[in-house]
Amino acid sequence: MRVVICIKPVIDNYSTQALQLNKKGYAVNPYDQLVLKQLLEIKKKQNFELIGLCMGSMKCQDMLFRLLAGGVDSIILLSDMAFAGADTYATTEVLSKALIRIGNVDYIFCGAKAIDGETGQVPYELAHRLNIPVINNVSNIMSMDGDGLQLERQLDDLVQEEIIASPAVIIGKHFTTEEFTVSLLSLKRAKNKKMIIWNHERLELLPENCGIAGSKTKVKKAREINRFRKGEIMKGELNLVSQEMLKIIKG
Amino acid sequence: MMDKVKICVICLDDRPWNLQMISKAISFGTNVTVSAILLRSDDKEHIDYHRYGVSEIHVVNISDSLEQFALTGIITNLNDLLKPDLYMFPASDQGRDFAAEAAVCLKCGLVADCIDINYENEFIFVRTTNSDSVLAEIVCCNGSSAMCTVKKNIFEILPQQIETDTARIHYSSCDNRNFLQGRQILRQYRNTDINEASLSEARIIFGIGRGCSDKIKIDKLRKLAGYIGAEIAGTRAVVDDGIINYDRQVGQSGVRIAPDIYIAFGISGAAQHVVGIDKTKTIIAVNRDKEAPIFRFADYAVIADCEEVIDSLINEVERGGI
Ligand SMILES: Cc1cc2nc3c(=O)[nH]c(=O)nc-3n(C[C@H](O)[C@H](O)[C@H](O)COP(=O)(O)OP(=O)(O)OC[C@H]3O[C@@H](n4cnc5c(N)ncnc54)[C@H](O)[C@@H]3O)c2cc1C
Repeated sequence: MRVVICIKPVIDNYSTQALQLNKKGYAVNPYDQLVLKQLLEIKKKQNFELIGLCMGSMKCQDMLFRLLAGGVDSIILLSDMAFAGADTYATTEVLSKALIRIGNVDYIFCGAKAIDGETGQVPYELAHRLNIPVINNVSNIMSMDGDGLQLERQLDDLVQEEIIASPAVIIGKHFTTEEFTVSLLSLKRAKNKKMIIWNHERLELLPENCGIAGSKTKVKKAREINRFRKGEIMKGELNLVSQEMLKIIKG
Repeated sequence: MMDKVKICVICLDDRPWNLQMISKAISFGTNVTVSAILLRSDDKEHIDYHRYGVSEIHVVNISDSLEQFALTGIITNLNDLLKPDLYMFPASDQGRDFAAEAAVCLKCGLVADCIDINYENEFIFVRTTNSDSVLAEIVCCNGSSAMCTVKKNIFEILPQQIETDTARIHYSSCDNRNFLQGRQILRQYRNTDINEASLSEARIIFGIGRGCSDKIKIDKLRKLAGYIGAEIAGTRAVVDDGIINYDRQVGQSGVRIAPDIYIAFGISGAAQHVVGIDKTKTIIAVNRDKEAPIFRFADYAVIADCEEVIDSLINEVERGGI
């Protein structure tokens, strides 16, 4: 059985400060991270091939080696200047070509959304490009063997356990900010594992169909939403500060 | 202001949501023609959309039991017929799926989760990204139509306009592709764990973060909350640590609150938390790190150890009452 997990690298910025990446640069999108964690959990018990598929800059390699060390069998990094600035349309153009190139993929896993762009559209567009079913709101992956994939979906307050035949795109529901720990030894070994890098030529894609050029949306303007308040410092003895606080509370 | 513009609103089961989208589409003015496409098994409840200004209704019969079907055939036909400048979908799970299918099949750009749409020679879509911390304006290009999914309860439903029953209604059916084959539901049950904390009515809320999450501090804070009549809520971090229930998590992936007073104890002020307290009248932050981002989002900053502050507050309340 061959399983691909799509991994979006997210960079350290205002919204991802949470991940405390200040020095590391790139991290796995927390929604993808949870799916990955669940897959690696099952991989301990059941045998299948797990491929990580990531479109991003060459600088993502450190992050990706950690995934190899954590138990992912191989990584395909789709990296090309021509891929930069892609919207969901151009992203799925590249990802779908890569998935066809990989071939014989039973299940494609994706996180619910990325914490930067937050569109949540990529997995659906991917499924429609590949013309295969898509299963969303997957809260847990229970097993993966010859009988197919067994998973748990959470639809509002309804929990549903299902068996899904292949092929299908599977979309997670939740996220985690917890990175899995990898030992130094496994990290060393991972450096010997293969990181495959594909560019547009390798995927027989025209540059004009990728990245910004191949996108069908354009950001005209973007600005940070200002939520700042006056932040008046309450100084003085603690008992006086407390009295002041209680006054504010009483209104 | 604009040339003739055609808008197609894709309507699913949620009537208010459908009418919100229709109302927004109509609000672009007299030069717009709005068609509603009802993707439903039962259309009775929805067939009066012309009263809200829709000029054509297309009912596409789909079988209820299918979560998914191939929209492709329908959408290509309707697209040839209507040639809309804009497609609007609800940003529900199903709406997202249909929008993706339409975008792939018609090779159009799609903007997700819009919170506003403007028109200046082209449609300009407004959405937030990066945990609601960035507001972006996006346009569609290199496609015959623009496409968007629209968030719920953003647009107002305009009152009914037309008193006649003269909308043209067309019926068609969908080439169902049964994706349910090879799919089997083993078990279904209601998750009874979900209980709703009453944070929406609270006037005062104490938010606890990792800096205020050991047992001694929590016990003291609960005591103080009892005195003052405050509800307890907190960050994702303390939910992960099992200190409070998920229904009390405030922020992007939790609830959004709007009390009169919010006091953040030992909370760093991550963007994902801050979006949830935005509507609070007065925010006081207690943190011992004077550089903590939370201070920038607060009205009042108390740079101190939260346990000492809680002790002092309890002391003052016990002394003077509140
Ligand atoms: C996709 C996604 C969604 C998320 N959704 C949410 C959400 O909905 N809600 C949410 O809250 N978070 C959410 N998060 C997590 C968020 O990014 C932060 O990690 C989290 O809010 C941090 O919680 P915290 O402030 O309690 O902990 P920390 O960031 O660890 O902060 C602890 C603070 O306590 C202070 N402190 C320590 N000791 C003391 C003391 N004795 N006295 C006073 N101060 C002290 C420290 O100075 C520090 O500022 C989300 C993250 C992601 C990636």
